Parts: sequence; structure tokens; C-alpha cells
Amino acid sequence: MIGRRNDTPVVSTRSPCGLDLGPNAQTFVALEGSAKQSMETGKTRLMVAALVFFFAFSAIGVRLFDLAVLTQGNEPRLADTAADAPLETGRADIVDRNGAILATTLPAWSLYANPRQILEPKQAASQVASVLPELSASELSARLGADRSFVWLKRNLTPRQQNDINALGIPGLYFLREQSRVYPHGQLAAHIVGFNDIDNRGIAGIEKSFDDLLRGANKPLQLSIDIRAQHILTQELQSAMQEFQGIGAAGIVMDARTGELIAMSSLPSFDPSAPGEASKEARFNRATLGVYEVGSVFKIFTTAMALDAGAVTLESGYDASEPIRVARFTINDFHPKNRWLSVPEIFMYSSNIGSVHMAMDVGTEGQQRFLGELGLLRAASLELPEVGQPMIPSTWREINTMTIAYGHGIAVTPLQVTRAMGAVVNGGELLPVTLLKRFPDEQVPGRRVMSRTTSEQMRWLTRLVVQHGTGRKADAKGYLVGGKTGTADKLKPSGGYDDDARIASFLAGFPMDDPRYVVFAMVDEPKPTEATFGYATGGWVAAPVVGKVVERIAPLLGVAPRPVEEPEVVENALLVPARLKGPPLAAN
Amino acid sequence: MIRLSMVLWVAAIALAAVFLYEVKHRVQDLEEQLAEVHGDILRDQEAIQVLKAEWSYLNRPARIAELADRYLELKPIEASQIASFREVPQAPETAPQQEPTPRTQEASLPQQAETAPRQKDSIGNLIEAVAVEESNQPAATSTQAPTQIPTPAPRQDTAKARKPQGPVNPVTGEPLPVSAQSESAGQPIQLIRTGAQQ
Repeated sequence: MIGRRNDTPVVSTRSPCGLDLGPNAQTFVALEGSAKQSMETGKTRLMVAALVFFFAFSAIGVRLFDLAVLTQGNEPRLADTAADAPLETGRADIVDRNGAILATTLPAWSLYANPRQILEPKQAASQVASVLPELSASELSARLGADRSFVWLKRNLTPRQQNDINALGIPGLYFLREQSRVYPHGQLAAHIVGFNDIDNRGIAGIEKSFDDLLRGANKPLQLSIDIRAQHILTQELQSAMQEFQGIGAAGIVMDARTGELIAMSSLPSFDPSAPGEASKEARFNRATLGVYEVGSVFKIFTTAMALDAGAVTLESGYDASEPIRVARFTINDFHPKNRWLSVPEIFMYSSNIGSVHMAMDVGTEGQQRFLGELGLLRAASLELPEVGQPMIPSTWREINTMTIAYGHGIAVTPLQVTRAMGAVVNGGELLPVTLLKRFPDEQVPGRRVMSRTTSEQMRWLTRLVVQHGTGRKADAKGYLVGGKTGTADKLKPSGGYDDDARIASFLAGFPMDDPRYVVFAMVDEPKPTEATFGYATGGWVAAPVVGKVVERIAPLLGVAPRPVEEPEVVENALLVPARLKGPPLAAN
Repeated sequence: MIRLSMVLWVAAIALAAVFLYEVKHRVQDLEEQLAEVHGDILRDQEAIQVLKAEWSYLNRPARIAELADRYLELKPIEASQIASFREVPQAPETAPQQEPTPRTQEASLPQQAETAPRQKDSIGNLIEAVAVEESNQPAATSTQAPTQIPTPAPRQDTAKARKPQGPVNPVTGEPLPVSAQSESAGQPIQLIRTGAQQ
């Protein structure tokens, strides 16, 4: 409460303590009642305000001292501004393992119109159509005449088109700055890189699986692909496909030590900047999404399984003179030898009968377990949305075991067989397969699926196929290619196998004394030609592709050639194990 | 006394004000320049982005192969054309001593650098050209002399190495070629034995 002004002060000669100071002393003015109270309140308020200001100013002072004297050290000498940040393109580049750009984002101008501002839609439409011939004048005039305030006319103009439109000087046409995705290598890596929709959202391939990352980051995404190897693989597949009039082809080159895909090609291909114009067939990724019965290529896994399980040794063998009859099926050989064959011979001549015997000796369960460990029964995981699920028998009967021994009755993706082959040749470790470049000293978590010995034996068995068996056309001199051919009849839509439609494939590794890379090549429905004497088998169609690819990519990938002179082999020294066990054989 | 200090203070304040005004103006100017430079940088970066895309487009392996086919008298390298150091014959010892004396007269820096390829003439040029054609990618090859093509030594299998008689082909029982085993020791280089002109 504030005291009133007319409160009378009490004036006395007595001090407030009650001491009489006499007449000469000062007089004391003592306020009483409300006047005294208001004086007291004012004093207190002054004190509080003074304290508040004192603390505020000392805080400012301390802070000033702190800023000016103490924190100088960790402040930048030069002001750095946000404008120093690198160019924001909105979507990161995708580059190959050597840094070649596979996909990048460039600024582009899109043309739109405000029809309400356009005076003569017809005339404007014909003028625009003269610059952009892909737009029809009638449709344009309909759009420009609409009662709206925004219509797209054309997205992503070229600079020349933009200049021409500008030169027309039509009011009501505007440009909008946008980003457009550019694929400098076009069709070459289309299935790997994938593509975006018009608003730059990834809808296939790496563009889709790393959509968020690409949109958020400004750093290029580096793939394991080598665009040069990719070109070589694609070119060789293309020429084989043309020569044998195939309907498609697929190929993979994989690093056997790291699981990186160096090249992966699926033909026919498409232009990723205009995916809408491509057929569904062309956009289909045969290398990762397509599942195929690969035929005799599977004998690699059957033989490795039998050797690893100890069911056979390199010296043992089987009588392959009699076809195997099970229920209503007869299993026969494509190149019948009609005699006792050793395990290397069975593999070399691709004997179905011998392989079936081997698989039966291991048993259905052993086969299931081994193929499962090799990753052939489940979809492989890869950084692509397009990964195919293998087709395996729902109930695994004895007959399935028999047909799967030589690669029928099971359909897998080329990616899966390539990955499994990696484990067969690299010492027995199955590696996760990837499209992203690994660090030079990255530890790749592998899983042991067979013994080192088995892997070593398989390397030389596959080498034997290329030296003396069905895969001779794959022999790139000096690079010790080892592999296995496969020719499988395709299933007819009506059921049963089609004798005229087949898949010719070849699965190989090189160099076999120290395998670095696995190469797979496959041609879909090759037709026999005169040059191949009426054959369209894996050995005639796919093996030469692998041979040429290896010859061309090995120097690029830094594989040193071995001396071309192979050791002189005594006549049929390869058949020594056979001689030990069976009757003497005629030379092949 | 008080008056003198007052005058001094007022002068100091005026001086500070003028100085501050000057500095502020200079900073404004600099900031404008900076914004301009940043704009230029962004434009240049954009141009670089476009040029990089074009560079990648022009370096399509298919195009390089076609150009090499048209303008170079070279063929893809074959395995037999690659040799290791141990196959290179020893150079005669007197040759390097004679060489430097006449050259010191005209000694200029570029001359010195150019001597090596000049001496090797056609073979040296061929090696470089082949490397360019083979890798199909100038970006990678510009820094990559033919001798530097990375060839990690083949992994020595421990089981193989322990055997006293060396690695054997387990299928045939044949010993591997001796040079195949020793390959790992010598760093292989590319050496053109047969050029396209021959």
C-alpha cells in the first residue's frame, strides 16, 4: 500500500532510537504510518532493480571478455558461409569402380504454360510444335486453350530447344528449372543402374534400392562394376546372340575372392533414360531375376558334393554303358561312351548317368543340404530389387535327386550359380555377392561349404573340361580357364521339354592355379548354325564367349598370363586313374 | 584537465565512428564480391558436372574401341605379348655411361624428361598406346604407365608350398610348369614382342 502525500511527517529532536540530542542537534524527520511504508518499498525496489541490472551487466561483461579474449583460439580465421558448400544436385551420382560416371544429375529446363495468359492458343501451339516436333499442334492447342493456370508442355528441354522457345517470344510460356537424370553409358549398365521416374524417384535397379541414400547424399555411390569389363562381356554376348539368333543372353563376371560383381549383363537391354519405350522383355534382368534350368553346369556342384562327402574319390568311377530307367524316365548321355567311366571322365564328358550315380551315392538329404549351403535353394541377396526366387521341387523325391544331379528339375538364377562357383574355386568359402565396391582390405565374411581339398580337385577337374572335354572353346591361352558347359532343353508352356528351345551356358573360373574371377555366360534359345555343325550346345555357343571375355578382361583386371606352353602330357595321362581301376580304354 | 580529456574522447569517438563506417563499407563490398564469386563457383561446378557427364559419355568403351579401330594400327594385347622381368635380357653395362655427356649441353628440364620415351621410340610409344587402347579409359590410364599394371602375386597355397617337389595337378599328377610357380616372384611387366607394324 502506498501512503498518501498529505501524511504529516513527525519532526522531533529525538533520534529514532529515542536519544534526546538537545536543541543544537539536527532535527530528525521520522515518517510514520503509510509514508514510511512507501519509502521502505521504494528503497527495496531500487535495491532489487540495481541488483538485477548489476548481474545483467556483469553477465554481459563476462561474456564479452570471454568472446573477445578467451574463445578466440577456436574461432575460424575466415568467415565461412553456406555458399561454400558443394553444388547440390538433389541426387548423387552413381560411378563404376574406377570412377566413370554411370548416372548423374544435370540441371535442365522444363517448359510450362499459363493458358489464361495465352492470347491465341492455336497460333502459339503451331509455333511451339515447330520447335518441338514431337508434340502435336492439335493437342497443344487444346492444352493451351484450357481454362487453367498451369500445364506442362515438355519436361527437360535441351539448351537449344530452350533457346528456340525463348526466341518465339510467346507470352504465357515459362521455364522451370529442374534436375534431370543422365546415363552417359546408356544401355550398357541399364539393368544394374536401373532408372528413375520423371520426378527423379528411383523405380528400378540401384536407383531404387539406394533411393534414399542417393537423394540424401552428395557423394557418389561407387559400384563394383568395371564399365570396361561390362562392355566386353556385353559385346561378346551380343555377338553370340546374333550369331546363333538367340532371344536373349546373360553374363556375369564375379571376383571370386571378394564376391564383387565386376560385370553383369542381360540382353536385350534398354535405354534407362527412356524406360517407357522399352519392351518388358528388354527391361527383364535375366542375370538376377530370370530362373533357368542350367543343365550340366550343375554337375560341378554334384561332383563337388560327391567328392566332399567322400562318396567318391578321383580314382573311383561308374559303369555308364547302361541308361538309367526310373519309373517312366530314361536317363541317357548326350555324348554316350558306353563304358566304365572314372570320375574325371564323367565330369569331362558330361555323363548324365555317372552324375546320377554320384548323386544317388550321396543321397537326397545330402544333396539338399549341400545345394542349400551353396545358396542355390534360396534367393541370393543382392543390392537390386530384381532378384529371382529359385524354383525347386516341392517334394524332393528320388527322381528329383537324379535329375537335379545333371541340372534339370531345378531352376536357379545365373547370379546363384556364379556365386556358388565362386565357393567351388576359391577354396570352399561361399561369399556374399555385392554390387558395391569393397574397401581394398575389407574382411569379407565367408562361410565354409566344402573342404580346401575338394575345391582344389574341382579346379583341376574344370580345367580338364576346358583342356580336353566339352569346353575346349573357352580356353583363353595363358589364363588357365576351367569350367563346365551346360545345355538344357527349355520347358514347353504345354508341359514337357522342348527339343528345339534350349539354354546354352558356360560357367568358368580363371586362372585355375589361383582363381581370381568367375565368369558365367548364357544364351537363351540359340539356333544351330552351319559353322557349328548343327550344334547349339553350351560348348559351341557359350564357351567361346567365356574364352573371348577372359582373353580380353584378364589384362584389364591385372591377371598375369601363365606361360602358354602347357606341360607335354603323355598320351592319355589324364586317364591314369581310369586305367588303374577299369579295363584299358581306347583314346578319345 | 577535464575539458582536454573530453576533447580527446570526442575525437576518439569520431575517429572510431569514421573507421567503423569505412570498415563496414569495405566489408559490404567484400561481401558482394564474395557472393559473386560463390555464384561463379556454383556455375562452374554446374558446368563441371555437365562436362564430367560429357566426358563419361565420350569415354563409352564402345566409342573408344571404334576410334581405336579407325585410327590406331593396334590389336588387343595377347597373353603371349606379356612377359615378366626375368625374361627381359640384361642391358649392356657401358650404354648408360656414354649417354649423359652430350645431353648436358642443351640441358633443359623438358628435354631431360623426354629423353626416355624418345630413346625407346616406336616400342615405347606402342606400349603406351596399347595400354590406352586396352583399358579403354583414358581417365584411368593417364596415370597408369604400362609397368604399373597391378598384378598381385598369385596366392601361394600353403599346402602346395610345403610339398618339396612343388605344386602338382591333383587330377593328372603332373607337376605344374616351373615358370608358373615362380611367376609370383617376378613382377610382370608388359613388353611388346610383336608390334602391329611388323
